[in-house]
Amino acid sequence: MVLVLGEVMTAALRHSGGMPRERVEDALGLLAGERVRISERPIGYAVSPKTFTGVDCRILARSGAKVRGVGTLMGRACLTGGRVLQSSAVARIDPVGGGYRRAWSHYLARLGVVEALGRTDLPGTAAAHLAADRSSSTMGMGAFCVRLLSEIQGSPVLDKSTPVRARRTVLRWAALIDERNEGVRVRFAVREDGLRTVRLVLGPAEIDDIVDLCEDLALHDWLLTALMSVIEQSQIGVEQPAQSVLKLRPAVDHLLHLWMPAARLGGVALSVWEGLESRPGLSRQWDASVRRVRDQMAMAAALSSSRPPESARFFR
Amino acid sequence: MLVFAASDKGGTGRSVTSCNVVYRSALTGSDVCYLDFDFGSPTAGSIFQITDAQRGVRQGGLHSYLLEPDIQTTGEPQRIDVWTQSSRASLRQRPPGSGKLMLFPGDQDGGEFGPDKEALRRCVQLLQALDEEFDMCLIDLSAGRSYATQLVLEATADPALRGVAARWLVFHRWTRQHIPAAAGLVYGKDGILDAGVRAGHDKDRLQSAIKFVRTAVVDPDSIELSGLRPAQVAWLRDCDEDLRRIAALHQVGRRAMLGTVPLDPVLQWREQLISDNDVVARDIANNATVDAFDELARKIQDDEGWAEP
Repeated sequence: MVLVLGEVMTAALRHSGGMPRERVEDALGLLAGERVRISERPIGYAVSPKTFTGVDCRILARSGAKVRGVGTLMGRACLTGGRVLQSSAVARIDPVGGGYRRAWSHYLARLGVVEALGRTDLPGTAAAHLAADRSSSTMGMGAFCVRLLSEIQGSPVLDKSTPVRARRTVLRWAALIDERNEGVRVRFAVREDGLRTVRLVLGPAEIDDIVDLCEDLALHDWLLTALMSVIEQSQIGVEQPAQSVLKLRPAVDHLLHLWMPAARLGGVALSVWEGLESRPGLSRQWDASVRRVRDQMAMAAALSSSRPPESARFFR
Repeated sequence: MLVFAASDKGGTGRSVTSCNVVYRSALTGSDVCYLDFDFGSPTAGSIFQITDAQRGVRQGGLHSYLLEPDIQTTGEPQRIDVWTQSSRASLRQRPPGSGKLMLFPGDQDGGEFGPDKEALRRCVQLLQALDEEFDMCLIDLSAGRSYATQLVLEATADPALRGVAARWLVFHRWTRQHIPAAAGLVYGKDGILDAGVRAGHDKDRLQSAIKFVRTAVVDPDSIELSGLRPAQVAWLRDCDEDLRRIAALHQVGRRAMLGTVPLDPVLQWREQLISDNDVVARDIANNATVDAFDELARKIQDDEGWAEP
């Protein structure tokens, strides 16, 4: 059995419009000399080169017990639709016998792997990773994600104005890979404090594909969260329709066109999305919210054109 | 937008006014947060009436976020949602249409500290993340020339925060001692302007982003003083005139002023948020005080008053 742990942080890029393709490279170029991968179809997507950071810390091995974990975390950042920025931290946990830390060259030969020195119960470690609240993060993955995100958000090519006000969301995931497994089981949970968790149990799979899947889930969950918060702020039914529509505008300008579940995914990831569409049904909630926004727009337009003549003169 | 609240002396009502301004902004629908950077004596918890954080939190507050990154695994400090965590019933009912009202508390065993490169980096990251989320972040600094003040001056000069509006409120009481003291904090040696220029700010631009707020002001014409004898009113008027002259002399006059907060016993003794309930139903606080907070909240966000000369 193989355990992979990860965390994804999602935020709106601090730039007033979408980021044009030719500047994406400057913004995401975390490492000199390595290329940013960019694709245009079906949605603009750019991913930074992989970057690594060394860790030597305690990790929860089984209920209550901790072991020492030494190795490296893999990190990367990606930008979707020129507007939504994400950073990821990922590590495969390899239990090894013996309690000695080896020379760093040993760990540098295994990038993205953290060796757990001591008796480790992988499902227990996965459960502890997912059960923690937002204020504590396994192996400092949260802090690593913040660092990657901040570096890009502070880039001089951005104009620093945020189109949609939203809290950064955190999606923690754990994937238990076992060759004997057939198909894939997924548990997606929305926790308080902008925290989401995903538990995957699956057969043989590439780690990069799992990272792609979890980033895609985090992206769409963030879009939904941001849209819901814009709708809530617009006070539909309380404010005048013209006022509500004004507050809905950021959603129309920056969010509505980005919904494209599993756009770049295949294989196992697609089946995970299909499962999530029936429950909790992310796309259903999204579609209903989008219809609500459009209905408000249509109604505001209808009301403004049927305004009585005495108040219409203000608009001349 | 980032708003920094500073004062030269303690007891100016900086924290209590700032909390009230943040609260009034949230009521009008802005998403706002309050950062307790008064590391020596974090008090915002008690102003917002958060039972578990009266004098800061036990762990994970702003002080440990900035200074103990080793034990911080998430890269985020603790936050408290005032609408749900306040022990005051009238605060817990979040009015419809109001914005977020979030408190970032200090630590109980905090304290002042010296220059620290890592703290600067974390401060920049924090302000950046909060600017993504909130319409206004109010950072309450400790009184006097503190390291917290220098830290935020360096942070706002960082390229990562270029383009983010940063405004300064300097609070002072309307007295003969407080006016020159406030002027000294801004214009004096090692004052905000001095330290700001050293941190890389443009002097004129920084100066145009600093405004004064007069607190505990006695208005000789107010109805509360209508019971005074004519001689007393005349004397008050003379004093007020004298103070205006002193203020103008120290560049703390009308043009550099953002607003005034009247003397209000509720504010002096209770040091808490003044709710509409206190004014209307209980009739203990003055309407003029709440109006002053509303006015301040509006002026802070109004670009016109902050234009460069």
